[in-house]
Amino acid sequence: MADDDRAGSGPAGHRPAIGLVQREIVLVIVLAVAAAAIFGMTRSLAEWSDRTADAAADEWHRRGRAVVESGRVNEGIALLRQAVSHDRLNADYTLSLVRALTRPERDDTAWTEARRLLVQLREREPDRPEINLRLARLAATAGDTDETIRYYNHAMYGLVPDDPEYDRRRIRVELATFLLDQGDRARALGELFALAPDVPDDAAEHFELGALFLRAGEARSALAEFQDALRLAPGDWRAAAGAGDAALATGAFAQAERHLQDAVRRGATEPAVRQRLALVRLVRSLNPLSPGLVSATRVTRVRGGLTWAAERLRGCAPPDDDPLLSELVRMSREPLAVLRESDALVEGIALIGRAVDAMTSRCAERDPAEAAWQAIDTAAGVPAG
Amino acid sequence: MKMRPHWPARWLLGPGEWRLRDSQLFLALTIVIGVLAGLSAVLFALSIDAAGYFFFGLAPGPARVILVPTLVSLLSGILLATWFNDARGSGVPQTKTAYHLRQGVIRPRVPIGKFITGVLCIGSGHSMGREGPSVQIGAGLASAVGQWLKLPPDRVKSLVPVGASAALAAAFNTPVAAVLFALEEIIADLNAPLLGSTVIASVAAVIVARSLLGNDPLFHVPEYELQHPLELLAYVVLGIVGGLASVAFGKGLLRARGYFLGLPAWSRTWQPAVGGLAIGLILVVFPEVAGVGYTHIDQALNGGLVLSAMVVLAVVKGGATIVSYSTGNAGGIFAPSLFLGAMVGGAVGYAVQWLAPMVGVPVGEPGAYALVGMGTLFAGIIRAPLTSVFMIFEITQDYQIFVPLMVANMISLFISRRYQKVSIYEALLAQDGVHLPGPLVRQSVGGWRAGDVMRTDVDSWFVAPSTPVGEALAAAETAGTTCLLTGRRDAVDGLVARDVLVRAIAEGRTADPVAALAADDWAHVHADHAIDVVLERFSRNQSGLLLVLSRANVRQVEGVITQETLLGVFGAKRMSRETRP
Repeated sequence: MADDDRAGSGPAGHRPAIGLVQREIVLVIVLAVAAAAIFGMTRSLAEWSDRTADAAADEWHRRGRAVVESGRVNEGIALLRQAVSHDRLNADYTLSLVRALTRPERDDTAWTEARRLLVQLREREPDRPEINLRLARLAATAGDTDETIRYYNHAMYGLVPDDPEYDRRRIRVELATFLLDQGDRARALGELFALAPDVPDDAAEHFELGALFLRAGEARSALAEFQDALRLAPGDWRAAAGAGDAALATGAFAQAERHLQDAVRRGATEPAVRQRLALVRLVRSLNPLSPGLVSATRVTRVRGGLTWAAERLRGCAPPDDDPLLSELVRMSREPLAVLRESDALVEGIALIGRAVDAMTSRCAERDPAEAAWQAIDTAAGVPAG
Repeated sequence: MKMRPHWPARWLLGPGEWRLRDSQLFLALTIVIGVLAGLSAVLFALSIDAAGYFFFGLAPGPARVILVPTLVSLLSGILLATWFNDARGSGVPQTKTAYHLRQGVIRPRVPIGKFITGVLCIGSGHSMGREGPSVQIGAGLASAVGQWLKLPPDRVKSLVPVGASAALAAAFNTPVAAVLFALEEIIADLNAPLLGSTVIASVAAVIVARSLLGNDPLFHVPEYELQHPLELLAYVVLGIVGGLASVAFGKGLLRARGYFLGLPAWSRTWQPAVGGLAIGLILVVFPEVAGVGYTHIDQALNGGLVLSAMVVLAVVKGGATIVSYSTGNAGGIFAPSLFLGAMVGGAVGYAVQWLAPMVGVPVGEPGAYALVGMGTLFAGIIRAPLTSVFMIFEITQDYQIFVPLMVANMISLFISRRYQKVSIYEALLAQDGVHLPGPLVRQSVGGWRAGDVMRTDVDSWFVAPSTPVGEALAAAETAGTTCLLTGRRDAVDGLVARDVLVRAIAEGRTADPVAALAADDWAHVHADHAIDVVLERFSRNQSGLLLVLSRANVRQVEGVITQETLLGVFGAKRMSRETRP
């Protein structure tokens, strides 16, 4: 401010006052009133301009989406950018642009732009699930596990207007799948156990969850989910096959055979189902721990397994001094009384299991009995449930 | 005789009259002008948008894209030539002229004309900015208010930067940068005593603008930061590239404008239409360069443009702005500078990203370079480095960008100054025959000036250019001078020495017109130049004559200084600093 502060000698100080009030005061008041009038007019124009810009943005958005869907992605992205530039606060426009930018054929630059747009959008709408979900997917593509989990969690607990349970479930399924892809079995199981109580009576949902449990190595829960799916859709051979696989993994070989037989009977077209049925049958014919066997049969089966493993390792060019082979031979010659002991049976199965592991690296060709004995070994190690 | 207030006034106000002190009135005016200038800037921006929608719609065909700028520029050309000649171009040079040379007096028709022609030109797609015109409109409104209130001349002058800063603050939503711009560019003195007024007006204007348009920033910028100390080297490169681009743009603009100014005066009416036609043809292929271009700056800042698009847009935008400006349309170079900066910066950013893995240094996104590039070209072209830094800071509200921004700005400014001595606004004014006082003149106080020692009774020194040499020599003898001037006092054409006239007569050229012998370059000073500048120029001048020319019109002779007048004045007034009145 200029600071001349001459009381009573202002710009009008040399001129007489007009009436009660200094002339300049009247003029300043007139200017203020004029400013108020112009303000009102400008506000009207601003509102009209906003409406026009919104309409233009809406039109660009509509055209942009149509053009992207017609396959002219670059052209559509340009239109969507126009829409976003004219109305940055509209999350729908930005999300449409992001969807176009993150199409599989787009390059890294487009994905980077999409991520930036989403981050900006998230600052305004931190709880919107689609924003977090897309950010999670972008982070997953970039291999950033922590960011991915963070965004998935934000997406799950964000506000969903329509069907929150369904959306949250889908996001959790996606997160669990991502974690399994990353090999993070423990955190994946945590998500799956959190998901299980919320699954509705829908065969597909139970089947999906069963498959994820099976991937995570939680065969008992997987079996329960597959059985629920079978209950809801008894004719579904996939559910039966899944239940068979889960039962196989738990060591319930009789149940596995039953389910796999069901699957085949119900029209399973995948050769893998028949192969697993054959495997289960082989397991049941070899398993020393099958229920209902007399102890002599159990010992015979263990001895048979030990002898088979020793022969196979010999056939696969073992090292000169192979302690595993020596152990197999030694145990196969143990007296009957010793092998009858249940600990000795389990010990024998475990030894065969170690031999099968060694075969994997030493033997060029696979023997169906390897997979069978592996299943038997795994089942023997699983505590009864 | 003072009137005694009636009883209601006495009851309300007490026994005295309702009067404001000078400073109180100035404060009230500052606020009102801030509001008015803010409103004018908002109204101007909205009107440009509305004109754009009206002229082009959403998806104009090629014929419309060519015809609209051509026909609208034809109309604005007629308006500019007929009523609003001062409304051509940016408006910042005219505002500086009004402040420094015309005691802040801007004719009220100027802001009105600027508003109308600015809306027409920018709304019809010319590649020009709205901030310079907003500055002129705000300053013009402030000056008009001051004149209307019959304020003293120094108060009218003080209101000009107040209105200018308020308008810029509202136009850009950057109050601090607007204040700095008024001090740095309009007043050209960061220590000016108007700081408080400009701050108040800017704040008032920004409040008005935000209440009308919301608090959304002009550009939406992600958070950027320096990724590694070595990345500063990349910003040094950006400063160099930005400085060179600034010089190229400035020189191109001045050269093109010089060409159009050199065409016959009657063509000035039609030049904007020629520019409009050229712009229409450019817009058919590159619609991105139309108008202020904020949309595409925003895209560059957010990584929405690829390298090739940035390079092409930088070149085309530069060319389009030169065409629009040099053909005399109404609009500024503020926004085009930012556009060019964003594109040049983004392109450098892409290059740095490509090179960074080879060096093993993490670097920022191209958007960060686009952001710094905006400031870099603004500093290089406009030569307002502090305004540039604070403007980017206010736009981003990100302190992290400060250091690279300052580094790049200073380098750009240095290169720009190295290859082009005067700033773009002063060079544009020089093309119009206006020489603004330099910083030394503005800062020096006390001491003798050229105006104190010049001789003003020189009407007899002027002869018509067609005067025969013999008559001219006789006129010189009568006037008792060693030099004659051809033309009129307000439009000097040339200067001819008495010796030259004598030699010509000896060669038998007595009847030749004196204009044939007159030189068209002469040494000059301005009335406000200090005496040491006068002596220094006098000593370098062979003719023994120094013209004292008006700053507002460098062809108008205010007086002359010769050796005799200098010595005479010194002797007569017994000049010394101690005895100076």
